[in-house]
Amino acid sequence: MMCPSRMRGRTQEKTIMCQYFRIKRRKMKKALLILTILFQIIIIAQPVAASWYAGNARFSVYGVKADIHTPESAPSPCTGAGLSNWVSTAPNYDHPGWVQTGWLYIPESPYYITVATPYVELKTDNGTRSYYEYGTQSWDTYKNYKINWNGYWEVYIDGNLKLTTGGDYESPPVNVEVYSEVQSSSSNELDTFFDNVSYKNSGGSWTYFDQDHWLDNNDPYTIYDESYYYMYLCIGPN
Amino acid sequence: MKAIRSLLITLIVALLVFGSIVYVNNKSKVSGATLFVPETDSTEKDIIQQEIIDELMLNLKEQGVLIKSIEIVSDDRWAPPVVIDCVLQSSTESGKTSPEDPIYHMLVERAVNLAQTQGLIVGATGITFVDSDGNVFSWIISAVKEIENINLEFKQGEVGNDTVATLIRQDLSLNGMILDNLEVVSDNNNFRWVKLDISVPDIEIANVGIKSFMDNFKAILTNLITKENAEVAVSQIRLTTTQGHPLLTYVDDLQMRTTFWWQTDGLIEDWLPYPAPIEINN
Repeated sequence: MMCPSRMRGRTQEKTIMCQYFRIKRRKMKKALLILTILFQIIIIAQPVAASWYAGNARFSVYGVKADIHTPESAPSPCTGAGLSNWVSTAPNYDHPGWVQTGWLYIPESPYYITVATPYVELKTDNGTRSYYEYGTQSWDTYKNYKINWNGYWEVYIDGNLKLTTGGDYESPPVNVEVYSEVQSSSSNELDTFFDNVSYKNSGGSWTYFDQDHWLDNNDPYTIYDESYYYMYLCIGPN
Repeated sequence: MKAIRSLLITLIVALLVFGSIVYVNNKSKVSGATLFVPETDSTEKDIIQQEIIDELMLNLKEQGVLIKSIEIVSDDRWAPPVVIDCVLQSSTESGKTSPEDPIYHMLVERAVNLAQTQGLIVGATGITFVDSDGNVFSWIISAVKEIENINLEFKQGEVGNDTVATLIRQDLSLNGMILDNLEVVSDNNNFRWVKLDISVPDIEIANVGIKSFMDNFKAILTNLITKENAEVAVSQIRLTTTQGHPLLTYVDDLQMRTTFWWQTDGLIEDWLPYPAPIEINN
């Protein structure tokens, strides 16, 4: 807002009025700048990549494993960041790190992971990330993915030790998840069967999942038939 | 009559074979020549392994990796039951990973994986980080890439590194970020590396622009393969504030299919499509 020119160079009171207008003008400019930045952020910012989950969890364990199947053929459609199916330790407020293994499929640009690909991913409590891929998993097959506490965390794929790590992760007992995760688009097809989903108890024995912690209402993805906590099919969109 | 003849023939053949073996053995002893490849004895094997490790250590040090020690450790959890155990000095004082640590991590694992092609027999790579007081704050042992699964045919293409740099520069969408340095080099094995140094005046600009920047950068690398037949083995991105405060260190070993990164608190996490577990409550 301009200081009216007719007020310039006049009396003391009018000078004060001029200052008032200058201050108001500055405030207006500032507000306009903030609005512009906010507008740009809204326009430019990419939508945050959404994820949808389905599966079961088990609290207070020393390891987790599951046979994770691939569907009969490549999921279609599968756009954006695709989908993944995994066993994982769950992060919490005090320990944001986690250890995870499973298979993922991100067929589109710029990743072009055009076949189901077994992987291990780690995030330490202080935020460092490591990601490893291990060959491929054919459609309509399964592999056993296992995370085991042995005084440190071990990761196995089909019985083969892939990785051990320690130093900056939560120690057991921990919560674990065995989930499907769809990323970017809720149109992506999900059809993943989890079998022999098991946890390791404090005595060191492996036991089938036995708790009801279903994550089955992350619309449009859900579980088909919840008769067993340790054997389920994650499907969608419904 | 026939039976006697068969017996004689068998005897003659047996004598000839026995005679040949004795001759060969004697000849080997006299001349030192080896008609059959001998089994390398364990001492000789150890020397070869140690030579490879020494060279590997030298190369890593030349690349700036702060190695405190490397040793060969026997560990039957891995196949073959050998771990190259490497202790690295982190610049951290707080017991937290320093921004440079993921680069060192990648360099060591990559070097061990590639050393298999020179004859290194190893099942896993162990990396231990110690802080400035010498305390271990992080460690990992990971299975080496099986040699048959390492793509050693990464193509340089017809275009040179300068052209690759120009192509990247012209297609890069910086989204308000500043490109401080772009380096395209070939390593000793003739594998191409792309290194980017990027800065932002404020972390919020990075939070707005990083995801589409990363997608764009990966798409450029893909285009280099499809259009120019030029593959990049390793890409490395350092993102800082214009004052030099590190925000992100990201190294993607496209050849080994591994990725390591560090990022500061406050930088958005969902700029990569990798899965993440969700927090659940008891």
